[in-house]
Amino acid sequence: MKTDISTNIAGISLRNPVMLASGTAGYGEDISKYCDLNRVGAIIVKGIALKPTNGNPPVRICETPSGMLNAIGLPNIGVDSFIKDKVPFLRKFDTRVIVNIFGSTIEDYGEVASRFNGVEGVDGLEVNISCPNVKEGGIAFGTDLEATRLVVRTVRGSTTLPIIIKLSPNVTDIASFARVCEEEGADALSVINTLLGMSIDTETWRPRLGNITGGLSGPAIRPVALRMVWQVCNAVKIPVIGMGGIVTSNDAVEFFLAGASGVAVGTANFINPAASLEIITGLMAYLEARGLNNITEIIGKVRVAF
Amino acid sequence: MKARVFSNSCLQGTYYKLIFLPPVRVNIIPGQFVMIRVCAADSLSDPLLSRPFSIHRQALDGSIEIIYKVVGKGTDLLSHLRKGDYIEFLGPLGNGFPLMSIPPPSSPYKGGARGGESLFSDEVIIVAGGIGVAPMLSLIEAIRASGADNNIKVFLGGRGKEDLLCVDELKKIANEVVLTTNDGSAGIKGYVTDALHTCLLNGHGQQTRTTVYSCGPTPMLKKILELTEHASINTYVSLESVMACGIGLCMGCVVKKKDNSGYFLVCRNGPVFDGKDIEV
Ligand SMILES: Cc1cc2nc3c(=O)[nH]c(=O)nc-3n(C[C@H](O)[C@H](O)[C@H](O)COP(=O)(O)OP(=O)(O)OC[C@H]3O[C@@H](n4cnc5c(N)ncnc54)[C@H](O)[C@@H]3O)c2cc1C
Ligand SMILES: Cc1cc2nc3c(=O)[nH]c(=O)nc-3n(C[C@H](O)[C@H](O)[C@H](O)COP(=O)(O)O)c2cc1C
Ligand code: FES
Repeated sequence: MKTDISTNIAGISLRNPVMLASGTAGYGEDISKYCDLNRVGAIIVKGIALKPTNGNPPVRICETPSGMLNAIGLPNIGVDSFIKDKVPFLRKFDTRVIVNIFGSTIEDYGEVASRFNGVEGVDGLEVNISCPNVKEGGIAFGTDLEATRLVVRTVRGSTTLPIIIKLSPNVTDIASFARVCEEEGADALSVINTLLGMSIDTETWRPRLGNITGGLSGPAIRPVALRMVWQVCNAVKIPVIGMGGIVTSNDAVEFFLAGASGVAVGTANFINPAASLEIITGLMAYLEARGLNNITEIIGKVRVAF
Repeated sequence: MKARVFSNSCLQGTYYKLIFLPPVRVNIIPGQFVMIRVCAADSLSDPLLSRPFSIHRQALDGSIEIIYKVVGKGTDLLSHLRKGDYIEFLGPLGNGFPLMSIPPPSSPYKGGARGGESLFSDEVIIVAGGIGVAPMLSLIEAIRASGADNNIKVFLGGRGKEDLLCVDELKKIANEVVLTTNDGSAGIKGYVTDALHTCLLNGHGQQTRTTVYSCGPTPMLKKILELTEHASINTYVSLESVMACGIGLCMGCVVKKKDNSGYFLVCRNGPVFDGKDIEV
């Protein structure tokens, strides 16, 4: 029997459980030159808001041990031009398109979400309540239980599409946020967004990022991300998309064992824009080598009893 | 893409030259760059990101040369590579120098390299600071190869004598090479921009159709743009920026648009920009 890694998350059927993480694959055009989008499970596009935004002034990124800090600040072309200019390109591919959305008010979230009702070629929404780099919006919602509840409720009431809430790791008890999202009707959760961090140049005594602080990503955060995925999977029944420092197929396997139904590849795309394809191939090989026929045979199968 | 190191040697001081052979031949326009990652081991995650380098030259066999200065972890690792080792690279990336003085009527920043135009200016001034000389040799070669016999004047500056690279090669193909060092150990003592200033004050760029091409540290580029804007001379600058991906994914490598309407991505819209379009 052929190994089957197809899956269904939040009612979205995926060829395989490996996705491109939001903000690391743009709107698909640039990465498509290096990575055959027909082969990835889904592309989660860069965050989209009601109105265009420019993002933060430089310096926007700096490397840290086994990771990087970013303070991009959510530049976006606005929902209207995204639907008009970018969705037609994405529709050309035989893959799933998940649109990451954000807003600066709760009403904004609802409004952006509603614009995607009936838009052909969009399969689901990922709701970013966890960007650490913008003053309003993002993390302010994702670190407050009541604000999280209201955003999820508003988005739920505004769209017929599946909604995936992207949780912030910058909280003490991520499980309680996961439960609130589940209660309000979220279809799935993305865990995790970047961890708030900082770096200082010891020559100039200045912060390395223009924004002073930024979001940490890459292999450095993998153990934290994995722990949070595990905690969230234990707290809710809805599926979880695990992300944070996944570079190889073995990294992805860790997340499946912890309970994730799917994974997303972020920073690794910067180093190797075809990383997700290599992870898919590696995942198949991992299962085949163990005589496993289906990806579900490893999901949540971490052996915690010693 | 994996590429085999053909040679890697110290040029002088902390400057090195790396020659590698891509598996397939690539076409290069002067000013384009490559992203290089040292793959000592597949699991290597520190340093994590690839590093951008201007393409110095392409040899007849298709091998690519870069010259680099060791400034940190990535370039230090690079300097230890030996013949037969492998690197991961992406490229050529970005837009190279346009070989002309009159910009095309359409916006130059619609993607795709812009070289290959045949409208040359009468005089070319090249200003390079330190390692900024890297893309300039092939730029001059391209201008010469097109059959144009413009007057090419090069200003090359560095902190000291050891920061002046490619001097002999430049002297062979340029009409004039002016050297400057901050410590006076070679050429004129002072900044390369001071020498450019003097040259412009002496009337260069007034009667003739002049194009300035420059590459080097950002403060230098800023000063050059001030000088040439004042003298109404077309100026193209090759910018540096911190880059995570080099291919338009991370949106980290921004430079402000002059008209305040947002940012360009240095990797996708540059690294070469018309000085009129950006605020450095
Ligand atoms: C389009 C483009 C083309 C480039 N072309 C070349 C080239 O042809 N040759 C070349 O040598 N470099 C070039 N650079 C710069 C080069 O990418 C950096 O020097 C390199 O990334 C440094 O990596 P590292 O790991 O050694 O240093 P890091 O560990 O990243 O940095 C070490 C220290 O050096 C400082 N630093 C970083 N870059 C520079 C720099 N350029 N000069 C001085 N200090 C720096 C950092 O702020 C830090 O304090 C180019 C950059 C761009 C964007
Ligand atoms: C440069 C950069 C930009 C990002 N932009 C977004 C974004 O627009 N929306 C979002 O929800 N997450 C964004 N993220 C977070 C990633 O999607 C991902 O959750 C995080 O980086 C952890 O995964 P990784 O370690 O594999 O990168 C961004 C991350 C990076 C590094
Ligand atoms: S370096 Fe990533 S977008 Fe330019």
